[in-house]
Amino acid sequence: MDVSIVNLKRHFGKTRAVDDISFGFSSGDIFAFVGPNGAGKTTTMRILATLDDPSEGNAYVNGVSLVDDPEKARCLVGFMPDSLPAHRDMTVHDYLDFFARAYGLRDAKRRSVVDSVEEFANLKGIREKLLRALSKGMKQRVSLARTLVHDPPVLVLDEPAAGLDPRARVELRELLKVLADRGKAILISSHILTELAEICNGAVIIEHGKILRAGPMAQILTGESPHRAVVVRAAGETDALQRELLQTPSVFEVRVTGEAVEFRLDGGDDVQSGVLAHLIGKGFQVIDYHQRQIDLEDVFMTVTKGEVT
Amino acid sequence: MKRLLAWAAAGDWVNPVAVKEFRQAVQSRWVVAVLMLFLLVDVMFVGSYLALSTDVATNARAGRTTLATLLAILMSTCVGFVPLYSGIRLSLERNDSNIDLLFITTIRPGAIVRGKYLSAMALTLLIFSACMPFMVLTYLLGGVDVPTILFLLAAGFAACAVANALGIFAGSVSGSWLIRGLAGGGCVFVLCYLGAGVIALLNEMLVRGMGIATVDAGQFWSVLATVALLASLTIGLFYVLSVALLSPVLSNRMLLPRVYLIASWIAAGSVTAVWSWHEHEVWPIGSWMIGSGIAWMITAVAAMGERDTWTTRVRRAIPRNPLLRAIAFLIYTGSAGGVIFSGIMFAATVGVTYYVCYICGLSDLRHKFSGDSLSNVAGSLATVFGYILCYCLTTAFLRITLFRRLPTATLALITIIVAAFAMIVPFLFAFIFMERTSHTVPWYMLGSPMVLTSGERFATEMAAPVVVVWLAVGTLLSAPWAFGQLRRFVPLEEK
Repeated sequence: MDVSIVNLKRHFGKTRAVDDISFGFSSGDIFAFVGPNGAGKTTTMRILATLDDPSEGNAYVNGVSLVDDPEKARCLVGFMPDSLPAHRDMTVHDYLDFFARAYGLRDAKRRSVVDSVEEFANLKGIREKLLRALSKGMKQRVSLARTLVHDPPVLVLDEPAAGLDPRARVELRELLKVLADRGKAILISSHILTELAEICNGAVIIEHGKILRAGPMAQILTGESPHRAVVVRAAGETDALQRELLQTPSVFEVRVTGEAVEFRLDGGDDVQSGVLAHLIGKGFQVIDYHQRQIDLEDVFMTVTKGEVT
Repeated sequence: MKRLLAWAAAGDWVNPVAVKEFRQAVQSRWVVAVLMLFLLVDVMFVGSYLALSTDVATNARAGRTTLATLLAILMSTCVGFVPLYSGIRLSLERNDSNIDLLFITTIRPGAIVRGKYLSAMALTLLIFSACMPFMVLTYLLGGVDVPTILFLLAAGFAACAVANALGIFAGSVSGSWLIRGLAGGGCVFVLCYLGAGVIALLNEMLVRGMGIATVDAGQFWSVLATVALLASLTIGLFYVLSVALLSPVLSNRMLLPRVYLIASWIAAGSVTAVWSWHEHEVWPIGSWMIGSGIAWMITAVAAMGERDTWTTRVRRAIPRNPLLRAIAFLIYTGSAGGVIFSGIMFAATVGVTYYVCYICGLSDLRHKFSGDSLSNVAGSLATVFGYILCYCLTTAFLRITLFRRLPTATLALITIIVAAFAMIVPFLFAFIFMERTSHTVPWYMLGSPMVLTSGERFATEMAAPVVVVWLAVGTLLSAPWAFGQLRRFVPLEEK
């Protein structure tokens, strides 16, 4: 199952919410879709969910055009919006049962599907509760269960972790891993980049409606690290260590992070070991000295400007 | 047990939207509150009438009086509450910021509208059934017979069916809060008129009674059949328009309404033609001509807001055969095609009316119709339609010169503004700056069809030539608009 977005544009008057973006992902992929507020993430996701039409371009799920054959594409895509279920006066079970009916599931199959998604999303205990009586975390679970009710091969999840407590976030991450293992192609947007980096194998970074980076996670992280990040911790004298590093050649962006000092290094292994030797030579009692792996947050902060269109 | 299982299985095939709406209605505080209030008002009215009225036992019309009030309460509740409840629910579900995900399931727009309508009718039936014990009481009080009660309830229920269809249509309108508010306001306005009209009509029927004499009267069944046909066509029209509004913007959403309009035009035309032939009267087919003419005027203005380019999915459905493609251009979504379609249908309406008069032996076109001759009525109608076409063509010219970047949906509104400008501005200008005191119609007011109502010979004689010249110039100036659309209307493979 391949998803490809081709030269997608969405304009609202003069505002170019999505400006000629192209990327793709496949079964088993969990792709992070990140960008500042107003970058065009939700607009793109709404187009993928057939809730909105692009001004130009197209998107395909296994060759089925979301623009030309939205009815066919709807069977293939499950969309979880950032808003919570709108039907406040329905029970969890009735809500899921309705969507199963709406997707054409009948008789025993419908009952079995609803049972299984309730089981998967851990909703068995609250299936007779009204939606208006649920906490935000529970509603997110219901929303995810609804997304899965027609067993779509592609999942488009807009801020699924927003407002969840730490335990619920961990559980959501585990659920997403299970779904990816089952062969779902998942596109997920979130502002919690550290969590995304843990589960995603690809990412798309978007700002002002344009793609800044897109591709497999390893490629994005390595491609965006001309300067390595190094963490050093010495016994006492953190301020002195920072001052010394600021005066050291090839070192920049020095900042104190708790008891350690983190800096960027312009150079390779030889420069890194040279800096260590320099610090020891200056009398610092170095306890820890290691290169920190560049993460999605670093890349995001480097490539985006944080401006809203 | 087998029967139970069969019933359970049948439940799976009920429209899912209807099932959802039933379940939500059961949980809805609004529905429960209105139902309780309705019963409370009924109980209070009947109780106070029985307790306070001194001549209940002797008054032969006590049942009729009670029934009239109960029907008014019933109609106010059903026409006032159920359509608004259904419409508001649908409108909220189509809120752009928190859209109901029902709209991205595989369920078709037609099924959504049918489900909503079914649930609205079920709710109406629930309120009607709650009223039944009181209806029995009116019979026991005397002064009204069972057929009359049943007939009035059936007539009221039919009115509710139309009102519910209107409510769902208004709820289907998407767009900004302003547009939806206008649709809702218009709906409330029509519902108020409908409710008041139905209450007055039911009261009149109650006073007259539905006895044998009435039912046996010559025109009773023909009038009943005509009203039933009109109500059915109206419900059908609201249905296809609601489906069109719920369909994706990029789809061929106007095909169904146009096909439906043609079908209803033929059905209503056939009935009225037979009626004219049977009664040897012009007014049935003449009424059809006026009704259809007004419908084509509205269609022409609405068509201006349709798209002028076609998406891949529409172009895939464009026939390759030139003749079929020409027909498709007229009935598919598209502004130029829609305006031409309206023009053709209007001409056909007038032509059919004259032909029916001819074959029915009503060949004297000066045959009296509503105090005027048919030819005068047809002439005035054609002039008004000509004005509407002029406004459309003027808007089309503005489109290709000034408003190239505006969304096509706004062009219907611009057409209305152009019409309003032509009708109101010269009048205001004359009133404010020229201190016009006489009632003569100056030349600059010929841009409005209102001149036809002035009764002045100059105005009525000049209106038609003005329209003809305006149409000719408008057609020339807007030709690139129509030809551009015709050029773009090609099957996918050919481009």
